[in-house]
Amino acid sequence: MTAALVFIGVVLLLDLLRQLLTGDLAISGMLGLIKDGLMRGLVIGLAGIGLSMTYSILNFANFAHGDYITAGAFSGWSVTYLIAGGFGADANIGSLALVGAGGSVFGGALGINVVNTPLAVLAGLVVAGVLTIGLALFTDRFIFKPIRDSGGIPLLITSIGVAFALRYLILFMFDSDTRGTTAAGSVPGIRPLVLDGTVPLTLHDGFLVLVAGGLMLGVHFLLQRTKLGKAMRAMSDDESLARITGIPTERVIRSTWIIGGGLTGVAGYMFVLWKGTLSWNDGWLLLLLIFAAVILGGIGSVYGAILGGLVIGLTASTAVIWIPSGFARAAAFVVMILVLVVRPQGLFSGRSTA
Amino acid sequence: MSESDDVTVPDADADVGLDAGSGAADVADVPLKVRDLRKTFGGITAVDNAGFEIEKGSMTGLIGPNGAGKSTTFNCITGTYTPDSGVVEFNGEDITGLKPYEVADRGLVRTFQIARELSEMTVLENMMVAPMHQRGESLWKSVFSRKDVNDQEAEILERAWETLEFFDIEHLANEYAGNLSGGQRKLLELARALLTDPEMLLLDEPFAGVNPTLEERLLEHIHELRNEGYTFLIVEHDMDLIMQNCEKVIVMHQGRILTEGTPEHVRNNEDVIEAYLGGEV
Amino acid sequence: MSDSDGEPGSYGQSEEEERAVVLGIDFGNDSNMLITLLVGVFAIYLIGGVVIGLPFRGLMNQIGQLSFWIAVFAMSALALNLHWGYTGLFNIGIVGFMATGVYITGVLSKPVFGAGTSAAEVGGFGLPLLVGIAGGMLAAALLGLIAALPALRLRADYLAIVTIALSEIVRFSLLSDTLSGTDIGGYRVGLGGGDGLILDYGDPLEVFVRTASVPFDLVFGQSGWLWEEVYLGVIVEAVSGPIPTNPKPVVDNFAYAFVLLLVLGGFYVLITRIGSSPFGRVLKSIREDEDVTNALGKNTNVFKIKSFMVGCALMGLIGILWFGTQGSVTPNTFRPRITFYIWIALIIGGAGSNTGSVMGGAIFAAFLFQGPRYFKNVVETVLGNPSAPSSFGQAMLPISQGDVFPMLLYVLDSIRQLQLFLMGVVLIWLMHRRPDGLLGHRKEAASSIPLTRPAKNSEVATDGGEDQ
Repeated sequence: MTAALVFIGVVLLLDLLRQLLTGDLAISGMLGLIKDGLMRGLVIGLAGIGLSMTYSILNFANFAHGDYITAGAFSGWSVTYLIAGGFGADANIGSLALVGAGGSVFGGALGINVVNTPLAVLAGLVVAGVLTIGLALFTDRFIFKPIRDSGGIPLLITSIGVAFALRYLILFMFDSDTRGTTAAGSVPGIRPLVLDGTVPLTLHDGFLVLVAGGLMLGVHFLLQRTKLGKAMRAMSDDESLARITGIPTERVIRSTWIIGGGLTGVAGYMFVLWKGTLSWNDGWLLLLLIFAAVILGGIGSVYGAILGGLVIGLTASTAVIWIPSGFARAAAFVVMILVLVVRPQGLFSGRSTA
Repeated sequence: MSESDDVTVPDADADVGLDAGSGAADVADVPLKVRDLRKTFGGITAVDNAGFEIEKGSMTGLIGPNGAGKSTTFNCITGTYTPDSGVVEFNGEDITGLKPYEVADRGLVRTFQIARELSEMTVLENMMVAPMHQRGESLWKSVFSRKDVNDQEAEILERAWETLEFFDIEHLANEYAGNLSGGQRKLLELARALLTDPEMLLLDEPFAGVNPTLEERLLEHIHELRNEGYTFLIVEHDMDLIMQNCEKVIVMHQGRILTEGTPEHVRNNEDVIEAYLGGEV
Repeated sequence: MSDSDGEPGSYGQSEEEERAVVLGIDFGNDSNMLITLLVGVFAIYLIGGVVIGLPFRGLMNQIGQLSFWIAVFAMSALALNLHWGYTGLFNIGIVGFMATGVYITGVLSKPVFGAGTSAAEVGGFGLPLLVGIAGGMLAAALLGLIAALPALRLRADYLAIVTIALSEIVRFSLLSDTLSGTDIGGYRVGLGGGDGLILDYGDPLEVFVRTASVPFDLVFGQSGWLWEEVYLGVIVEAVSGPIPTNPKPVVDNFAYAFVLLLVLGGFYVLITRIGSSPFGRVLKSIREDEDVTNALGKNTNVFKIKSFMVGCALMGLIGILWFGTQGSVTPNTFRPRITFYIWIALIIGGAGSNTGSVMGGAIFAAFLFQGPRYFKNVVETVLGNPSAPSSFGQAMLPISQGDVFPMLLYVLDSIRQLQLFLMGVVLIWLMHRRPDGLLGHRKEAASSIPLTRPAKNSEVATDGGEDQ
């Protein structure tokens, strides 16, 4: 098996070189794809941390996780719109709050970006995180906790119910338009010259790296330096043992939802800020990629989720070098399926430590 | 479908070998042969050059302190593990590394230490899964040959019932297996294994956690079955039990075969005494 | 020995569990239960429509639709029951197999691309529809095999993720430009890409009736006797009384639903036979404990693959019957949402029970799928088709002035989204309160004969029979 994979890797690499040499693919283009993939990967990784932790500690695959992302995104952007456009006599509070439902308010027109409207963005970021935390705690307390003993499959099925309920409630309230949240081209950026072309880098790329990186660093410190982090690692490794040694598991579970929920909400907000559009389906479309990342990295491993996210993001983005663009996401899924078949425990074998 | 009566009663004159490697060369008399078995996990050698032979119609016990390698050997024979090296031969055929269902298919059937009943199915259903190569297990026949399938089902039902009667648990026939007591499950485990029409039964710690009354009952049944011609290899912790019931005992220690022979032989063997008293639990 | 008068039909459950008891009502047997349910559901729809004063044509359309959905969801739940209820295979990629079925049928049976078709389209191989249907089912089964080989040994939640990823890969393939059109052996065929595939292979209903007509044709010496003389000549003619304008589509609705109900009957017989047999017994055993099943000498992988492939072929057929009559088919129809409908139907009915699957399908169709839409139809008719606010925000505004009515209208107008919200809530509720659904607690014997105590045959030697 490994031999086959190495062979495929070599073939892909050779083809890549061929494309670069013949000019089919510009180096700048390739770098652009790589950058794109890493950015997506950061979002996937950030959102994946929460999924990985709850998958490991509570032993179920939470299919509602994608819709947590959407919920965070909408709530955060609602606040952002309100702050960015809400002051002034002719401000339309209602449609601002609904993030411009029905095409009534255009994000581009509000000139939202991180330097223009820093308060709006930061407030939205925070609200996204906080609301998702609340959502996660709420659904755990009333929906998952009562049946926690039923086993992973009933919980999985229940989470599908939660996903449905959440997604279509959002659709009902915010309707189905895809909104442009930032006007294309209005975000300050640079286009450094790289060999044969330019690679567009915007402020939002930088901001995403800053926020995602900072949060991931924060999680790292939490896991390694605090008592809570130790308890979380212990529970992820072996829950019964953790219980016996007196770790307050309910508190740890709650903390897991809080941290996971917060990161997920922020990831949702940042994703929309970075890509410039918002839609009710955004989270659900990410969900399978996040599962791929978590499985690749190893369920229960935070570092695995981050690394897995980057790899999956890169795969989905750079796959277009070799295969038609319609199949780019399929490539990421194929990677996931391969992992499950060859090494289901993933790269970091489900340990919270690297 | 042959019934248990059809298993040939072993030749009373057969040489019941008393020490390792004492000939017993005829395959028909020595169905199971294990040679130079070796299995490591990571850095630990669980089984180190183990080898023994089991005579037909005998009741052999495999004992040893914790960590001696009994379970690993057991699992290597039944196909749950693939040994790193060595040979497992059954009825003259090399079955090393075959999958569990292939091993069972050849007449070498195991039971589980913690009785694994199919809890959401009734006792009868549990029993009726066991016979091998049922006509109705073919997808096509199950849909299109109902008459033939039904005929065989009736036969299987009868055999199942009889076996339940043999174990005195036929009153539980329509009970969910999950509702059985621990002891009843052990009986079911053995009864179900019988219905596969095995040649040789490998029992994995069948007496673990079993009360004395049930123990006696189990032993009675096992002895009776042995008299019918079944061969038994029993892995057990309880040394006294094995000593009192088996005609041959194999002792393992730290992955190796320490000694084998009659219970008296083993009881007086110094290495064995040391192994059990020398610091192991 | 314990009592020698065997209790006939006893199976190891309390008597109540064994019988057709649902919600405390004893129906005597399964057929009664099903018939009562169906009659009740149709009655509700009819009465509702009549009371409100729906025009006859509209009402008949609704009933025809209802029959269609009941058949479709009942069949789907049965196929899923084979996978999950019997074998323990957590398949949430159902929609991918449905898509495969209908698309391959389209490719096989579409007329050959030639003069007269626009440049953007693709054609097919021009094979007869029944051949195309067989091909579609086979393709779905093969896809199932490809999925099964690596994935069946995965634990349930991993298998779930793999199957849904696979159904998405199918959708991407259907959307892709690469596969949208190509030349194979002189035929210009393809999957149509984002535009989808036009299913111009004729009217499946007509094909089915004409096929059924073959024995009659021999007798009457006419081609398509059943279709021309009976269907068009008698039935449609008769309906043109109460529905003078264009009655055929209404009759078509019913006729097609009737065909589907026949197929449903076939499904039920097939899956019950598979389940109540040694094969089904091994499947249940695998679901319970695969290691034990292996230890008893069964090659569990082969059993799982067979079960999976049969289920997938059936799902392919359902895809064909469901989407194959709509004139065209597009990739984005086949989203995981449809898979989850079927899961909800199965859980309502109770996984593991075939009768339950049918009931769950009917209840889902009547009350969660079509029900809300019918409700909307009915209420809007009563209210005289008022116009609803166009967005949530607009509906919210009047509330500050105490006017709730616009919001109610908006809710009514958005029923299609809210019914999905409702489905989510129902699923959550079911998993909390009734995870076994209506009939899941009822253990159905996996044996082809009743498991009663066999007659004592004194010639059969007992194995050293013990005294009590």
